[in-house]
Amino acid sequence: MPPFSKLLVANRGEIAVRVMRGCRELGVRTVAVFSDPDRAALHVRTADEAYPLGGLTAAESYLRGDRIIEIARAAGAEAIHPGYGFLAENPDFAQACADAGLVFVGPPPAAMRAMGSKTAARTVMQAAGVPVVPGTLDPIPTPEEAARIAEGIGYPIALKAVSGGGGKGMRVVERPEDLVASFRQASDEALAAFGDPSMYLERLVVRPRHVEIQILADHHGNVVHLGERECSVQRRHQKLVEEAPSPAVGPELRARMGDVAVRAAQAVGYTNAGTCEMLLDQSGEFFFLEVNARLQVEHPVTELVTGIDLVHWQLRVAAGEPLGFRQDDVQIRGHAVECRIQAEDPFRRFFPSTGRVTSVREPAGPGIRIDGALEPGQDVTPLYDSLLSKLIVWAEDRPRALERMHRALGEYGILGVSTTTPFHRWLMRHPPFVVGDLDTELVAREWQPADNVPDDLLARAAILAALSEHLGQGRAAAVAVAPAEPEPRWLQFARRAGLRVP
Amino acid sequence: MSEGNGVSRLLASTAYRVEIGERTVTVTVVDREDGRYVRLDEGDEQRIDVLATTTDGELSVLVGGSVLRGLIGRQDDRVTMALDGQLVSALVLDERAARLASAAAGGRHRHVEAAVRAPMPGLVVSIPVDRGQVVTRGATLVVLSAMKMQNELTAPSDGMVSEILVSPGQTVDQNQVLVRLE
Repeated sequence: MPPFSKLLVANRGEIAVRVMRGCRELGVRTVAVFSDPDRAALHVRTADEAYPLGGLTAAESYLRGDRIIEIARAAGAEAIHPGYGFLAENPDFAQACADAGLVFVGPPPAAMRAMGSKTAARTVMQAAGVPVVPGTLDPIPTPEEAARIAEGIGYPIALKAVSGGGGKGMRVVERPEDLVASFRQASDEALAAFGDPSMYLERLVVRPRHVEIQILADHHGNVVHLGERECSVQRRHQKLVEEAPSPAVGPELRARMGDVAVRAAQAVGYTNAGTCEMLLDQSGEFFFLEVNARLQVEHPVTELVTGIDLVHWQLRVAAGEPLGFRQDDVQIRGHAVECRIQAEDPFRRFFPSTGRVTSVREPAGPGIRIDGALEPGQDVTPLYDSLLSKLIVWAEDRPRALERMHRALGEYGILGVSTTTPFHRWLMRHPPFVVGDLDTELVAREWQPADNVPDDLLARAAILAALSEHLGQGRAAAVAVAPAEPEPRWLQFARRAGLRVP
Repeated sequence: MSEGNGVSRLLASTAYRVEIGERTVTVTVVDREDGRYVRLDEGDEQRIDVLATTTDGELSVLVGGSVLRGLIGRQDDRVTMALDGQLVSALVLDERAARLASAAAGGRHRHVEAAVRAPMPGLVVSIPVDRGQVVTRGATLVVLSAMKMQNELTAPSDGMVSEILVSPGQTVDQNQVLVRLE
């Protein structure tokens, strides 16, 4: 029995294709929606049915919850899967789905709301006994008050803008005598950037790892966690590489972190798939950051080490099925790594790269999974996210997984836009990464690429470029090269025997 | 001119000047009676056999006994290549074109202009240089806000800012020239 007869996917790109694949495996018919530039996109061609949203930008198309609900009802869909981004964590949209008699594949709006505000979530979590970074999320009226609170927490501390994000209006204070000046500077910066000068402060976690726990909760009170993902390799606070399990987490710490994540989910009446993000410091102490109330970009690494299909369970749980397994049934086997192949130039500080993708050659072979929607002829525009595809590998252990990823990245050929593959390939053999010594500043600190092309690459590239010119490749249609061999013996024999051969 | 392998008669020889980043390599493709050879700069000739050229851009060759395999495409007047997960862009000029290019430069002081273009549509936030200012390679010329980020566009080489074509607050299209250097 399929969980639903028909489901609308309110998203685009790789995640829409991923969800549709899961639907097809369970016998659920799929409905795509698309913006004007996405008319011929892969997610549209993958679905059973597709309807235009109109519009160019996300705001004019994939964020039009009203239009999407209208289309779902007209098409006879019973449920909506929001993917990630766009409307995935919008409680009003989840509520509107429920009001329209549609199943929203995700947590209830109330749980989303409880998680939506940093301050509210922190209060709920503290009450549930979930460890949070020592500090206060309430606006601090004066620098003097800040000094008093900082004394109780201990230095170093981080001053942060209440309305902030992305590192603006933030200051690290190492010593009490610097606090007042830093508070004023950060507050002025916050006012200029966000129109709100209010600040809060918390203990600075030094060289933190970003580790998150995947949870699944059904409508019958069962909550399980599927272990952790290590997501410390980031630039501009966005993840570039994720792996499961984390090199810093053993069975005992996994059980403790998992237990906290389960408690966090229960505290807000969470259902469906979710992720509890945490900071893990160098001593093994961990703190709750936030809950992501949706399927995550990096969900495949968890699927590969647990053997549990998260999209299948999202659909089955949303349809009211109980989880078919208990915590004891969840086993972590082997090691999985995901590289987010982004349309960015790692040699120019990960500057976004736009243009038309002209060729794509994808890796294959043992332990390789590609979740993507990347094809030759595709335009990479600034309209949407710069994620082109996700390359995910599984192997028996971490060293083998890193070497497998290195091999697969070498096979990956994308022309037309710059991608992050050279960075990823460097990382897979970068000693601190190889030994698992990670923190969220690793990329900023250690990726200092030389401008020049290495000698051996230069020689090989020069030969290929000159030869391509010599053969007239690319200017005319590709040249079919005559076989250098004379006609093989079997072919001559076949011709003489009058057999039909090409 | 070396005699190559000194054994087989020379039929044709074409030299290509390949510019990759800051470096230039001369690749000479030599056709002899017994097959094709390739020479880098003043190095030895190496036997080369083309294994495959495909419609999606693969070019694979044997150089000596080593397999060289890449995905080859073109962007504007440059050859782009994906090799071992690296992306390399090269400007290839054959002998004649290279001679013409240097003749056009008059053989005297080369006066080269570089245009700094917007890599994507965006909003000019600031231009921290003035016309006539001498800048070194890597210096920030324009701060462009695009894709929810502040992007610094930097000087591709040392030079002097000869022209500033946009002003802060202006919206620009992809590939629009923002600043010229000479």
